[in-house]
Amino acid sequence: MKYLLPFSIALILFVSCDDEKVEPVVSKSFTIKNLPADPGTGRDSVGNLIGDKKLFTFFRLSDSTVVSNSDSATTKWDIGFKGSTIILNGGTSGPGQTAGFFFNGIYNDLKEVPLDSIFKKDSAPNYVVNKSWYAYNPAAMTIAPVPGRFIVLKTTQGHYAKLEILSYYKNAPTSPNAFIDADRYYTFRYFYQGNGTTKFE
Amino acid sequence: MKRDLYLLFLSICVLSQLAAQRDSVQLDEIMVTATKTDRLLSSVPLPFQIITKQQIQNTGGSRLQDILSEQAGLNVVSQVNGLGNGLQLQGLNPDYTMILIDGEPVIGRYTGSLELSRISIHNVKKIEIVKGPSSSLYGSEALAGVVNIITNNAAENKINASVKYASRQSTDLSLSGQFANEKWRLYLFGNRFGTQGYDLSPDVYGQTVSPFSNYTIQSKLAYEFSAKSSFNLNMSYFTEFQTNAYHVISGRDSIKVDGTGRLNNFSFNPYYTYKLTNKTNVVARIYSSIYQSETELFKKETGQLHYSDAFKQTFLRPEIQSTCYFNKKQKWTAGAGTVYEIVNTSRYGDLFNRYQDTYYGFLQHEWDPVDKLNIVSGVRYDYNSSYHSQWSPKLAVQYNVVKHHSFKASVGTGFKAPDFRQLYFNFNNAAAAYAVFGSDIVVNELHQLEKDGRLLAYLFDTNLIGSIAPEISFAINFGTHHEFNSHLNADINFFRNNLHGLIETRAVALTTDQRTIYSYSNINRAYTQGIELNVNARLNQRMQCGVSYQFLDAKDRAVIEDIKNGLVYGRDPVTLESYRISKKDYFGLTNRSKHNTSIKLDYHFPKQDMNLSARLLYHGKFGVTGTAGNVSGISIPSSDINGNNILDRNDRFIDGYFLFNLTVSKIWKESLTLQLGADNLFNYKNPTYIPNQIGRNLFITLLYQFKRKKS
Repeated sequence: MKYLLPFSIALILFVSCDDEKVEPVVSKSFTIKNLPADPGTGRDSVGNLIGDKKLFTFFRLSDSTVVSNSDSATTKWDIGFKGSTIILNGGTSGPGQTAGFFFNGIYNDLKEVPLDSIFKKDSAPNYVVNKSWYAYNPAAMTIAPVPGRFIVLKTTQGHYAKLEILSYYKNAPTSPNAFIDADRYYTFRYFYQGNGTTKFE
Repeated sequence: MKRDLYLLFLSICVLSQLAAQRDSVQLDEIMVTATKTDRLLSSVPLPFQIITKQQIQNTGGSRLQDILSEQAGLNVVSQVNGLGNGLQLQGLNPDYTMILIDGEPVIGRYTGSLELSRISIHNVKKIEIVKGPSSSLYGSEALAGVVNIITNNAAENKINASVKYASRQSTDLSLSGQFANEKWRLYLFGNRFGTQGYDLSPDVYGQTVSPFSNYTIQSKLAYEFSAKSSFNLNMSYFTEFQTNAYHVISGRDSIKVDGTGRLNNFSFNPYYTYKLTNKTNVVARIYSSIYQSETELFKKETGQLHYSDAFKQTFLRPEIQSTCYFNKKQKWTAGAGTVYEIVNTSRYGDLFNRYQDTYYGFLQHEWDPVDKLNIVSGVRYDYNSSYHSQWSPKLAVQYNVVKHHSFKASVGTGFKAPDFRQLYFNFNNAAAAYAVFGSDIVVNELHQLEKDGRLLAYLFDTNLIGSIAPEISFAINFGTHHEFNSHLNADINFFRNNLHGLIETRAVALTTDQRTIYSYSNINRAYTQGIELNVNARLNQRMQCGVSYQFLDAKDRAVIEDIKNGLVYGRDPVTLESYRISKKDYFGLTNRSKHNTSIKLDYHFPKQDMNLSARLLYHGKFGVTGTAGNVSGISIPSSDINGNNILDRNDRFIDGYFLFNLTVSKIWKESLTLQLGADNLFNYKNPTYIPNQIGRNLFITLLYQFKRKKS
């Protein structure tokens, strides 16, 4: 627990919003940079992770806030990150009702949740946001988010969101090098619709 | 890069200033590979290429890849594991080109690719290359074309010896003898090749290529009973020893291993030729070949066995062929045969023999209806015990508009039967949580898993799992040959290969312990198309040059369709946002350059009896498929960095590069030749992406020829 405080401070520094308005969030676009997902203290020469805590970083979409690990059993968070594993607060992953699915297409083009959408909850080991959010390059040992694939979510509160992961590496380098760039840092953008409608604008 | 292109442009300009005569390949020479009959080069209606003994000698190469890699239309590419040398023809993978020695297939492919360095070229008389599908004569594998390595025959009494010493303590020793009288002819050849290998990443344990040495022994015996009948017996034996040391980094594992490898190949080919009448001859032959390889690797620290592999292939093919010279204008050729193949390998999870039989017949008609026109048509039928039968037709036409100008066009189909690996492979990688089963065994394996309650889900249409058919191509070649004058001629050929049902590994099921099961299926459709241009010029009696260029466009047709439907995405390197890939963004298949060029210059100094041969090769930019932690420790990062599984403009390409090869020969009294040479003189290297590119290779060769004077 004692690690969380410095983490949260670091996060607040890293998180950037499109504007400074705080309450109440109705609908808004966010871009989150360098959200740590249990990065530890780095990797050794053959690529083994050192000093990881094996803890998820829990995140709330409505106000883009990192939720303390002590609140893991609450509905204060919507989505959790640990390494390349992503969980939604619902099903086997948490007490909430968060559900979602992958949408293949252009993020900006999706203006509304499609009528035929089927929202699913995590059911370990089948997570809604499964391994297919990324492509692994085994020789380079790098992870690249699959382009044209993003997540459509419905939070416990019944609010809809779309979320696209942009990078898995610190400072989102264009062509990450597994031996130089620190991994387990998410950069993503999302749109949160707080008014209960299915519109993404 | 720009500077390189400028240099290339400059060299083309300089060379085009030179005017000249026909290359050493004369059109009145004979070719056998295109029709399995003797045919004048000037009347072969198919695109072809001839590499002469003179060309081989002038360049000083010693293994097959040395000479093939200098041809613009041919590409020597690495095997799936990132190393080795396979041949890419018209943009098709090494699996699809049949390689023959004296008309008989060389066996022993590794994941579909035949290692070219197994073949010595000191005994080669010429290499005939037929481009475009040739399954109508040769059956499976001759989908992209055929490379026929024709070795020397005994014509006179002489002995040749050569000693070559090259960088990295490479030695190449050859000795050959020809003995001939009126009835008997005997050709004997022996070669030893050895190298210390090379290391492109010295900080890693082991070398990029480990030391190896090999021996080739060949004998060709011919006896003429009468003017009507003769008997030939060709035999060859090849053996290779490898001393391996690797640092295998696979995922998070790092293991140092040592071990040895061994290859053997023995071929035995007796054939009998009989002239039934003046117009009809018959050849009966029984070709057999046995290939064997063994590799064992032990962990350096514990001495435990880390990896072992044993593979044995037996190939037996009786065949009878008859050619009938019907009249001056028509020639019929018919043939029939059977191929018996047996494979026995640890890769299939047991040591049982796997069999495959093929029965085939072919018919070909060569016809010159009028003086200016010649037509070759043919068809072959293959019946195979493991998959359904196959018809392979072909039609080729040549029309001589005027004496110095001709057109050729050909259409045909080619096929490649599923190989043993695709049928029987049984590979279980517990550490990496996946397994691969050949299509013949996958259904049973999945049923067993299902029975044990270990199958979580099918990932592929269950009706399609386990069914496999030959890979098919349909191809068109169209070209023209023009002789501007006796010094200058040019060829241009357009090709298009449409490929259907390419066999790929495909995830078919998932187990309860999260293992993915892969198998083989006819999934992909692709095409390769391009233009090949050759210009040969002779400036004067001393200087001769050739420029070859190939433009290649090779694409996955499913990807093109997906792009059309807006289903393929890329990631903008600046904004990191996804965007739709357009047709223009798609580069095409990996391991293929769009532009390949070779410029060759030969200069003869008559007074000194010296010869200079310079070759400049350019390979345009290309992308690679990733290779991760294979058994020899080679890891090549995939060019696809944005996770969309295709090569597009924002991926990481390997820049185009030049290789410059230079050889100088000095001849004394037609019997002693001294050769000095440098391959890759500018020392181009790319250890990460092209580990089979060795860097500068210097060599010195001494050749001696002893002829017995005719008494």
